[in-house]
Amino acid sequence: MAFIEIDHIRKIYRKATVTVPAVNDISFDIDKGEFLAIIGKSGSGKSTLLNLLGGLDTPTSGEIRFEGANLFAEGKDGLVKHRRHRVGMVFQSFQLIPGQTAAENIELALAFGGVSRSERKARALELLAQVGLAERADHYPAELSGGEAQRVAIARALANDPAILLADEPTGNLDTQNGDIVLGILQDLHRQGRTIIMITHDPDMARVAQRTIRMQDGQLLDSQLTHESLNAKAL
Amino acid sequence: MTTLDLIRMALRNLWRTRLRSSLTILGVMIGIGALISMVAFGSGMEKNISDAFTSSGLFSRITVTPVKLDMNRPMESLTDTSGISVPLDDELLDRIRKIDGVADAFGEIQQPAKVRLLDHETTLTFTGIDPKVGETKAYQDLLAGTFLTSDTLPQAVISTDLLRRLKIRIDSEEMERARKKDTANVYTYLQAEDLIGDTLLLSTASFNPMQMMGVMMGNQEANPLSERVSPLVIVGVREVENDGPASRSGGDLLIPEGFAATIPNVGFNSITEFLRKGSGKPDKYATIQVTVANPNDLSRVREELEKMGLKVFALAEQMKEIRRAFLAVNAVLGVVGFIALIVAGLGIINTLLMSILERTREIGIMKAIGGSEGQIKGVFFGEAAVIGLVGAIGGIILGWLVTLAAGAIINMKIREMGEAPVDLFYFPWWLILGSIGFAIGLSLIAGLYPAARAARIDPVEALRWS
Ligand SMILES: Nc1ncnc2c1ncn2[C@@H]1O[C@H](COP(=O)(O)OP(=O)(O)OP(=O)(O)O)[C@@H](O)[C@H]1O
Ligand SMILES: [Mg+2]
Repeated sequence: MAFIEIDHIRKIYRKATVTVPAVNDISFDIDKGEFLAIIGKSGSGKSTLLNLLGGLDTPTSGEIRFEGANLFAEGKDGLVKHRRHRVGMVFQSFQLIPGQTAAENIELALAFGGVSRSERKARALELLAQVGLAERADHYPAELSGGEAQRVAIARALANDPAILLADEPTGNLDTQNGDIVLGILQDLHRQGRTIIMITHDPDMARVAQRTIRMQDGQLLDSQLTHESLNAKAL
Repeated sequence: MTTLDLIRMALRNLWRTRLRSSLTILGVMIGIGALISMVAFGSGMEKNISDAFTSSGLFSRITVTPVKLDMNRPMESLTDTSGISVPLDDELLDRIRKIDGVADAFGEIQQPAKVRLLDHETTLTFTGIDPKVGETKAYQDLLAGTFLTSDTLPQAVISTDLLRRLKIRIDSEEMERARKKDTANVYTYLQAEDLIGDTLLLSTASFNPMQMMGVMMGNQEANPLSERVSPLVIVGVREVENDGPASRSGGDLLIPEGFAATIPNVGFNSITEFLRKGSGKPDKYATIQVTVANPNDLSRVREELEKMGLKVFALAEQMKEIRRAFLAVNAVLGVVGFIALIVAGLGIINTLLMSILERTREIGIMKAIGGSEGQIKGVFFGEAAVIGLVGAIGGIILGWLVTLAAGAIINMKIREMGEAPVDLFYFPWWLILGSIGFAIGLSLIAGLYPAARAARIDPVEALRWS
């Protein structure tokens, strides 16, 4: 039994007469501690798949099993628990709450995770130090550079110590230099034993991953792309 | 996520949009303020009346009248002469005094008259009364002088209420201020003590049936009404605070019963006397005031009096009716305030819906990092509750200030008219607590729909916005 089993998963959007199979019957496994990259053209269903893995969305059919248990079997409560403790999510546009400081953004995630008020502040500072931003704790998102904001977002995703980190084009809005810093942090986290699943458009980024899968029209095109084949196929 | 976290978050969110939040809170404040000042006004009126009754001993008093007085059917009762049989005289008085539970009973002679004092004139109903009633609770309100000391001498005890109507001012505290304003010299200013020993002129009219016949037969000289002027020496001044029911029934001018009996009368009780002509026995008294030792005995004594064939009237029992009437008044006033609060509730819904629209992405983020639907509802409920609580407390203060200002303005007018100031508004504790509870309840109900809507937001949709 693999760590994560994606089993004939489908997400079909229907609007009037148009049906869009955003994710169309995908099955594959992900191992514990794996660094997986997902590539594919725009609209190929990458984000839809990642949102399903993150428990933000529910499938039209199929299952995603984490250590053998179907994520969607327990309804909303199961999804909330999954988002709180098992996965951390990072988005292209950072998704920090603008009215709260870097520390407060992290403290909110800690509060949802059930961490007591007294421990939150210290935990948040610790997490910020981990991404090298301890001195930016009291800054608001608007006062941070893109790279810094994304590092705060990663720190927040790690708040409740999830085993899995889901990143949807985490460097998409960053310049090369900042992108490299963020990628470096993800590599560190992978080294610490976390499972990393990252969507990217950049083959250089995908090369950092152990395995890359490519999607097209909601389906899996290649599930075992090696670094060599990535070089061969321009994205 | 604790309740404290939710409240802190709510406060922060409200602070972030402080202009909008304060306008919404202002709406609740106005609603609560309107409700509370309206109900306080109704309660104040009710309290003034019931206090006046209690302090004047009216709750332990039964009035025996020659005709039945019924507040519910005033016209009918005046023309109902069916039960007239027992004359109100000293013999009856003795019988009443022997009833178990009766503390005392006094007859009152009442008659309309005109009075003149220090060049001022007014009309009133005076009361001829046994000087002994001076010992009862209802008459412990002397400001100067003594109560009536003799049953036969032409003495008078007057009320401050009468002085006001005579445009004589004795309120020393306000005298200076009032005197300055009174440029036309309408009023006379003096101390209550100055009046003791002064002479008051009482003019009464008497009716002569023979002269009436003369008029009917065309005698130009005949005059069925003749005026009689009696000089009275003022022996005391009673402090009668307001125009409550206590003062209206002839309490403005008290004279000894024995002397009053010598004044020929015309007016109210002479009509019933006229109707009773056949029985031969006239009423000596206009009313007999019966005081019970214990207010609990009131109903029993009342029944016994009725068994004696008497028409009786107890304000204490009418008070139930009055209370019911005030309940209706309060309900109407309350409804007006309630409508203001409904509008405030709509304001809360509007504000919350607007902030949900603005914070759609934020709600998506909260869900993505582990927020449950319940917690997201809680955030918006927290905001609604804070709006309600702050609005309620502010509204109580606002309502209180408004009633303070309104009371001051109204009392200024009342003083200008020469009347005593009154407390128009009354804030019972249940009104304060009730309105706080009500405002929070209303806010939470107003928060119900927005909170449910926020909780239902699809995080995938919400996060797509960037
Ligand atoms: N709510 C929706 N209703 C209808 N169609 C949708 C909805 N959400 C996504 N889609 C469609 O599903 C398909 C997959 O979308 P998705 O966002 O997963 O693509 P993506 O691979 O992440 O693209 P990109 O690289 O541009 O982010 C797209 O064709 C998109 O238009
Ligand atoms: Mg995408």
